[in-house]
Amino acid sequence: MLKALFSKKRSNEKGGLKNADNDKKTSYQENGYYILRGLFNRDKIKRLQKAVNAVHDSKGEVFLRHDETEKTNEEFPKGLENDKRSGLLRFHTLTEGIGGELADAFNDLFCQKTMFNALNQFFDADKYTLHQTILFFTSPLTNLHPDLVSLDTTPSGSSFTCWMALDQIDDTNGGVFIAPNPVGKRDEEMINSSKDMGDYVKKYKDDLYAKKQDLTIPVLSPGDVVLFAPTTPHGSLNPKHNSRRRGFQILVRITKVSQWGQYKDTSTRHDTEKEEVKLTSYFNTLKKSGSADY
Amino acid sequence: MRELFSKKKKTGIDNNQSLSFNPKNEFYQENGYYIFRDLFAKDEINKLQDTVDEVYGSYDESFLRPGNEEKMNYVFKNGLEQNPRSGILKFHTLTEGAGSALAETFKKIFCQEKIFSAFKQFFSTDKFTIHQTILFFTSPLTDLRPDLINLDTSTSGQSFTCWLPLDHIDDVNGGVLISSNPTGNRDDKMINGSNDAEDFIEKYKNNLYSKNPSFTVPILDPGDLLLLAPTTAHGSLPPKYKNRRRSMQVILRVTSAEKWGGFKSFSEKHVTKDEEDEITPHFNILKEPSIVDY
Repeated sequence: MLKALFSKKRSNEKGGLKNADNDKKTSYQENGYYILRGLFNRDKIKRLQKAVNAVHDSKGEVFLRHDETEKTNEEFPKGLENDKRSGLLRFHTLTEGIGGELADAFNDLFCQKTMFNALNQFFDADKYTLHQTILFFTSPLTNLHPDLVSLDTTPSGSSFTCWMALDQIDDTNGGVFIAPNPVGKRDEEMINSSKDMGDYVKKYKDDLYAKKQDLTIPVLSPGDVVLFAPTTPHGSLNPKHNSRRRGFQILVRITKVSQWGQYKDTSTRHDTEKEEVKLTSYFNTLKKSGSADY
Repeated sequence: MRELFSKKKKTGIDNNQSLSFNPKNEFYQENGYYIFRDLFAKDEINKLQDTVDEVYGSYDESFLRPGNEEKMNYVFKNGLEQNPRSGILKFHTLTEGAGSALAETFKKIFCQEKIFSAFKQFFSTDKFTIHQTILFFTSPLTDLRPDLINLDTSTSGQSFTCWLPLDHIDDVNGGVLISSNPTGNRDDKMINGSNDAEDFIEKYKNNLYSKNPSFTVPILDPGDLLLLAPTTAHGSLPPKYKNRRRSMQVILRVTSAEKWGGFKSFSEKHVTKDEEDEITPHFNILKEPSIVDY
C-alpha cells in the first residue's frame, strides 16, 4: 500500500514541500504514522546510548518514573527484573550528574536542525515544543491507545509523538505496534460519551478489535524515529526472548498552535511565552511538563 | 493492504473465473497470505470448541506434542502454567476417547465441500491432502519462519498452512504475526547454503530483520481461516495478559503435486495412492503424518 501511495503524488507543486516530502506527508496523513530512518549521526546515538546505560547502571539517584513515583535506580538493575516496566519521566529536564548528561545528549541529538527539518517535511512550523519525554528501558506493555489521551490540539493533529529506538526493536523484544488511522480521525461522539480516559480507551479498543483492523509491527534500528499522530492507536508488545529495549517517547506540539490540552479538554488557551522555555533555536520545552499516565 | 481488499471486494468472486483474475488469489499471490472471514458457521465452531475443551479437561490420556514427546494432559492444567507451550500434534489421527471425538469433529467440519471451494479459489485441483495438524491451547511463542521447513512442493507453493482461531486472537493473547512475501518467493541459494532447517531459519531471520520490514498482526475471530503460503514467514507473539488462545494449524498439499518434501528435499517423488487415505472426495490424509520439530 505504501508503494501505491508513494507512486500517487508525483506532480510538481509550486512552493511548499518538495515532491518526495509530499509523498511522506501523504503517507503520514493517510496512515497516521511515518518512520524516519537514518536521521542521526552515529556518534550522537552512541553518546545517548552511553548516557542511558549510565542511568541504568546507577545506584544512588532518585528519578521520577512514568507512573509519577520517585525511585532510585537500585530498584531495577540486574536485568530489569524489579519494577521493570517503569521508565524515566521528563528526562530531558534533568540537570545534574548522569541525568544531566542524559538530557544534554538527548538535546544535542534530538533538539537540533536535523530533527527540525525532518519534522518540517510533515508540518509547517517555526518551532516545536516538547511536552513530555519518557525513557523506557524495556517494554511498558502498553495496550492499544491513541496519544490524544495525553495531548492533542484544536484543530486535531498539530501535536504528535516521536518514538525513538536506541536498540534494534522488533517482535521479539517488546516492539511497538500500530493500528493505521488517518491523521485527525477521532471519534468525538465516543470521546464525549466516555466517563473518563480509562473508559474511552476501553471503548476505543473494543471498537477497533471488532472492526478486525490489522496491526503493524515495524522493525526499528537505533536512531529510527516513528512519528505518530495523536489520533493513531499504538501499544507495546510483551518481550519474547530479550526484555531489554531502550526507547524514547517524546510528545511534541507545533509551538504556534496555542489551543491544546489533554483528553477531552483540548481547546484550552495557553500562553506560549509564559509557559515555555527555549531549549534550542528549534525547540522549546514546557516550564512545567505535562504529566502522562502511560 | 486495505486498499487491495477494498478493490477486490467490489469485484467479488465468480467460481468460474480463472485463478489469474480472482482478486483473492491475486492478494494471496502478492502477499503470501489471505484471511477468510466467517468461513465456519457458529455451530461448527461451537462443536470444535467443545471437543477441544473435552481434550483439555481430560487427565488420563497421553497425547503426542509438537517436539514429538508423549505427555499426559495434567502437565498443562491449572491455567496452562506447566508446560504451557505444548499443543497436540497430529490430533486429526487420534482414535480413542476425547481425542477421537476431536479428530472426527475436525475432519467433519474441515473436510467439507465449502472449505474445498474456498481453497479452489487459490489452487487448480480436485483434491487436497492433510499432512499435519497441531492443536494449540496457548501461543507457542514461535519465532518468524516460513513453513517450507516442514513442507513445500517442487515448484514452490502447492502446499499451504491453514490457521484456525477458536478464540478471539489479537496482540493481547498471543496473536499471529506475518511477514508479507509473494507466494513461491523462496531463496534457494540460502536454503542450499544452510546446514539444516535451524541454520536456515537463523539466516532467514537475520536477513529479514536487516531490511527493517513491517509485520502484520491480523485480528482474528472464531470462524476465520488464515491461509499461509509455505514461503510466508510467520510466528506467534507472547501473550500479554491472557494466556489462553485455542487454535489449530493444518498443513495441506495439492494432492496432484507429487514432488514434495520437508526442508531442502522439496522434490522427492511420492506415490499418492500408496501413501494417502481418502477422507472425503476432496480431502486425503497421509498414512504416516509428517513430524514437526518445533
